[in-house]
Amino acid sequence: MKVFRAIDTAASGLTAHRVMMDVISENLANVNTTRTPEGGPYRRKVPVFSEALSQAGVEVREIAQDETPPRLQYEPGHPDADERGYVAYPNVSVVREMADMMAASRAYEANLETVKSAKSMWESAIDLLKG
Amino acid sequence: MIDHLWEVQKMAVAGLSKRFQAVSENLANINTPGYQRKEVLFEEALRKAAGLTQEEENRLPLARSGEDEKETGEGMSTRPPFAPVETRVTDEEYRLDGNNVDPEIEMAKLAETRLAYNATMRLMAKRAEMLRIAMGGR
Repeated sequence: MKVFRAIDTAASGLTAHRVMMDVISENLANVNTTRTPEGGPYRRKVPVFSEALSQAGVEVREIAQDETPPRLQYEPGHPDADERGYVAYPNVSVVREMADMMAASRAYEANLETVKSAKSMWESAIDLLKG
Repeated sequence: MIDHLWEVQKMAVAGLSKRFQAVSENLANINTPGYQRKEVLFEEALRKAAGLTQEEENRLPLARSGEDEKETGEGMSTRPPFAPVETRVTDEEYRLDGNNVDPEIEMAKLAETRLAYNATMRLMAKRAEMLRIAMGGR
């Protein structure tokens, strides 16, 4: 049934945008993290979406790293400062993360609306049996 | 009971649910770079499958009492089968990342498709109910 498949498709959209929100919150939480297990400052993470051809919908292909250089700030007293007194802070921009967060939450709402519509359509199809 | 109108309604519902599926895929891929939106066209196919010509526009022939069965239900089998067409819209630019899903249009299409589907289903339910009453099997 196409209406049921539409619920699965919308669910894939919901999952993808939930992952996007998780990644954004991780980026925001680490906006000032200068130490990571891999060494160096935290690097911004980006979810990579691709169209899922097998089951019609969207899938998160990978969570990639933003390779742009870290932002340098002059703070000679900081324990992670280099010999010139600069501290490498993560390449996370709070404004951009906020904008991405809005896009993700709007897309989440749109997919939720699809689920609601599919539910109402399915109910009206069931009414055909009730008569 | 399986008359012309019932068959046409069945095809309309099939076309609408296919369109709904396309809209849901578009909405799921709203943030996928390079995604090209899907569009389902079925009105023309429905008109052809229902055996309507341009002059008749969208008017279905009325069922008449005493008419031969062949004229109503079985006439459908000689017409072309109903085949909604799903296309990819490739010639539209909407966003810099190559994605051409417009959320407002998709939401409007979603609501429109849902309403048309529910309306058709309700009509079919009413007809089934009428037949049930006529059969005395309430």
